[in-house]
Amino acid sequence: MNTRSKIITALKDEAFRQAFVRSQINVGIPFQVRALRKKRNLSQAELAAKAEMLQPRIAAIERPGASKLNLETLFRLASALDVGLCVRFAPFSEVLNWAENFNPDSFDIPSFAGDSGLSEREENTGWIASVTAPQTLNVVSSNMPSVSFRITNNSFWREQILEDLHNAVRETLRDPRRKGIEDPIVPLVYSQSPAISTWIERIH
Amino acid sequence: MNVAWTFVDYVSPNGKNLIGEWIVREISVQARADFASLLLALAKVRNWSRRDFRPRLEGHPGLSEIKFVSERRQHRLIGCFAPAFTYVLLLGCTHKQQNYDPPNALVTAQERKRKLDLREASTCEHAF
Repeated sequence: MNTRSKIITALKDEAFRQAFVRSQINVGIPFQVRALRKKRNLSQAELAAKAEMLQPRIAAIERPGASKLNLETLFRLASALDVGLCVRFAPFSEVLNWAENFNPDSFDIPSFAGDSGLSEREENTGWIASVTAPQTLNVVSSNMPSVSFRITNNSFWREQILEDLHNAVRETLRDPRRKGIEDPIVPLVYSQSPAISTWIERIH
Repeated sequence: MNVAWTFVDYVSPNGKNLIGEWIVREISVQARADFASLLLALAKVRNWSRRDFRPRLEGHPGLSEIKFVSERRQHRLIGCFAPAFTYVLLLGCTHKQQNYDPPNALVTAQERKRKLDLREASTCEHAF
C-alpha cells in the first residue's frame, strides 16, 4: 500500500481527518513561511520587521506546532511576503493532494511584481492549456508556429507537463489540418492527479 | 533532482510494528496527523533542517532524531539512516527539559538498531 493509500485509509477516521486538516496549518504553514522567506533571501529579523512582529515570533511560526496561527497573523505574513492568501473550504482530496505535492525545497509563490498570471492575455494568439480533473490535458486553439510554455503553479508537475505539452504541440503542428483546434485532442493520463486547474500560459 | 525519502518502521523480532503501535496508542490523534504531515514534507527535502532534525545524539553513534511539537508537547522519533534515502524510525517518545520520556529511550533505540544490524529485527513501510 503506498503512502497515499495509507493516508486515505487513516482519513476514514473522522477524528484523524479533522486533525489532518489542522495539521496542514500546524505543519504546512511553517514550512511555507520558511521556504518563502528563504526564496526572498530574508532573515527572520527582516521578515519580522516587514510583518511588524519580533524575530522570536517568526522563529516560533517557522517551527511546526510551536505557535498558534490565526488569520490576522497569516494576513500579516502574506502582506510581508507580498503574496496572496486563500482561505476557503475544500474537499479532503484537495487537502491530501496539496500535502502530497508540497515540496518545501522548491515551494515558491511569486510576489505581485513577479506574478505573470496578472499580465494581460492576448486573445486567440497562442496555446492555452489547462489541466483539470480528473486527469487529462486539453490543448485548445492555436495559430502560432512556435511557442514556449511556463507552468505558473504546481512546480511539482512542471517537467512532466512541459515535456508532454511540447510533444503534443509538436505533433499537432506537423499536421496541417490541425490549426485552430478547439476540441480536446490529446488526452494525457498521469499516474497521479495534479492540482486542479493548473494553468499553462504562453510566454512568447 | 527531486528527492524522495522513504520512512520505515522498526518491527520487533516477534513481528510487532512498534512505531505503528506508538503512533496509534501513545500519542494524540492531532500529534499523529501532525507527524504524518511532517513526514510528507520531509520526504521531499534533501537536507533536513535543524529545526526538524537532530543529526547526532551524543553518546549514541548512528542515532538521530526527528523532532516536532504537537499540542505543546515535544515529540521525538529516534532513528537512523539506511541506504537509498531511507530513514528507519526506531522509537517514538516525548521530550521535556532535557529529558526523554521514557528515560531509557536512547538506550532502547540503540538496542533496536543493534538488532536490525544483526538482522534479528526487521522493518516495514511506515504505517502513518
